[in-house]
Amino acid sequence: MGIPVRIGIPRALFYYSYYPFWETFFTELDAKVVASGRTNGKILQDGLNSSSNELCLPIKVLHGHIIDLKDRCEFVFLPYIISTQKGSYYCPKLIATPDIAKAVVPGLSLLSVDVDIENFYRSLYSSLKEIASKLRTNPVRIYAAYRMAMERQRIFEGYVHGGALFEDALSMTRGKRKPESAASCPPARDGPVIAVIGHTYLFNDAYISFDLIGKLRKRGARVVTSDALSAGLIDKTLSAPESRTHWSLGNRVIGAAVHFSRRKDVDGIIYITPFGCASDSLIKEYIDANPGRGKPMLVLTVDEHSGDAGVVTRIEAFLEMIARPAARAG
Amino acid sequence: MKTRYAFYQVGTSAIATNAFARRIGIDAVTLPSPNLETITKGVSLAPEFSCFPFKVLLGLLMQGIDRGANVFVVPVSRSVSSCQLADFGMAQKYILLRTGRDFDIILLDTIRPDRVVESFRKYRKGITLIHVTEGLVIAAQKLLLLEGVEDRYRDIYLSARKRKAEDFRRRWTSAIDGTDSILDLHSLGRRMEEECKGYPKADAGSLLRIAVIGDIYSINEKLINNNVFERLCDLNVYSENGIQLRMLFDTGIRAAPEELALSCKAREYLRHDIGGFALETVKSAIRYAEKGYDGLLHIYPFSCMPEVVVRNILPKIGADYGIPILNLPIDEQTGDAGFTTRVEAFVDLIGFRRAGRT
Ligand code: SF4
Repeated sequence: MGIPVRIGIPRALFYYSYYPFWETFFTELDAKVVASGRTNGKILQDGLNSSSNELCLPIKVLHGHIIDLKDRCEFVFLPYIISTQKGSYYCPKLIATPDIAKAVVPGLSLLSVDVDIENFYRSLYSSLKEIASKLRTNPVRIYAAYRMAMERQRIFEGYVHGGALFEDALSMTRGKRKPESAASCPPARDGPVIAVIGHTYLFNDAYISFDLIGKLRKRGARVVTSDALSAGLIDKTLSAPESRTHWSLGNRVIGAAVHFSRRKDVDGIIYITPFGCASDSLIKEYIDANPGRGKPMLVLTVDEHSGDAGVVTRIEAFLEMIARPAARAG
Repeated sequence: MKTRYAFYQVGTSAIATNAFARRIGIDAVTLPSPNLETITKGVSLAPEFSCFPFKVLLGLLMQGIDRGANVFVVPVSRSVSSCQLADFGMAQKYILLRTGRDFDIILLDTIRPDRVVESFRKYRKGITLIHVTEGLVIAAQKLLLLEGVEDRYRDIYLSARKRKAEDFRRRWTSAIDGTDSILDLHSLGRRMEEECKGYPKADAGSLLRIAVIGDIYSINEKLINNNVFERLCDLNVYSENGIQLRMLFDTGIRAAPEELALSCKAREYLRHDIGGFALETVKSAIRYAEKGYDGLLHIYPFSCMPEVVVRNILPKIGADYGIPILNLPIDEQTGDAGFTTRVEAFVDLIGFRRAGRT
């Protein structure tokens, strides 16, 4: 067997949702999977330099990761993720990430598949064709790899829905860590429970989220995130059509806000959103219009110009506020 | 309380929607053309990062409520081809409810008359499919004619003079407004063409040619785009509207063979229909580049998701097809002066470029 094809996977956007699947899938097809490094100053700067300033922070960061990877692999894997649920969609920038990347990063060779639940068979067919031709393999092997990858993804999502944060869930899925009590917020301690809601690729990236989760934990808070809610639970929470938007990620945020405000054990909600995320721009109106709110909620908008100190101040003020008994009772 | 309707509007679309309202027998409030007050009102209540059209339409809704409207009609189709627009109506309702203004919204699926009937039945029992279909046809007819007036306006301005063009626009716009039958509109269109033959044609060969592409709302709403078509005429530039309102209606045009070829080329840059008119904008860019236009103006609201994608792809198209492109993101802070200066500089640039080539 020859030298394995190296496939680069940028540590950005859907990495935080589907990495276990992709890693398993490509490894099963005898490719070598290379992930980009954790976001750092250089990656961010490279990203900023190559993107127009109307783009949102997560996409700019993606470009930094692609630049970090592109000379270390034959293909950078970047899927077109259009819809994963009927009737709601990803934001246009997310859907078009491969097209934008091709236009702004010169000399890029991409491996891109279509993921579109609404046109399932057509997208499946074109995806199979793309993979078979670029990796020189056949549909039977692809199918076997797909089955393995699905299994892995299922295990991973099991941990995430059990309350594990991304990194923990990933290492447990790989078997590197024992799945202790799956909940990553040990119930023993007495800190407040803070629900962090938003887009998974933002709050799981410690660099661009100013390590929100780490900071909360350091201050004794126990953290749950919107990732822990299954798609089914979000759907149940937002059963009324006028409580839902056009956007999959937006609906997750609204659903999580409603769900966590109803939960007795949650003391406060922090909604973190990237500056310039247009698909989030109307979400707050939907949250406010939903019955059952009334938990303290902090909206944290971050971008490349935000300062760490500012984030710390806001978090601390928020924690202090919910520590006051009056706020907890209400 | 009496039900009074108002329609989302863009450009002169009120003429078309009013005719629709008359045809199906409902009482429609005419909204003003967006003005500074509209913007101030909308901006004061809209979320900071919502797009500019959202803010303007919110302001219009508030003005509509002041004039007694209590049901708003929002044309929208809930598919992947829509954008934030899919959520405009609901979000605006939530925002205005908080300020004590209540109203209903009807989401109008313009290519499904049967659904339109359903939406209106709740308010008006007697509405039939025939009324609605006729209403939609008349509205579409008027929209097409009005766009024709704008196209001719630029022609007459460039070849004759501004006063004549303005006179032409005024006369035919009010004629279209006053004609409510399919047949009469048809003959009106013919008479208008007749009159146009009397004017010399703008000499598109010697003038600089620019196509304006981008977000459909911004391109077709003068206040938002700083009256860009007029500005281009002032600069003696021949211009074309690359994203006309008719695209909201006809799906037939897109199936023409040359359009399909164009689609294939566009999809090399943008594989999927990501929403809004992004794919149409990319197609238009290629169309006018191939026609040998001297430049493209890309106008879009600063936080418009589909057009920001296009904004990042256009430089590559510009390089591949060798056509200069000017990006003009707009929001409530875009002043008229800065905008016009940029357009003027661009026109100079493409002028030099053409002089250098010949
Ligand atoms: S959803 Fe928001 S943050 Fe994510 S890519 Fe789209 S605009 Fe950016």
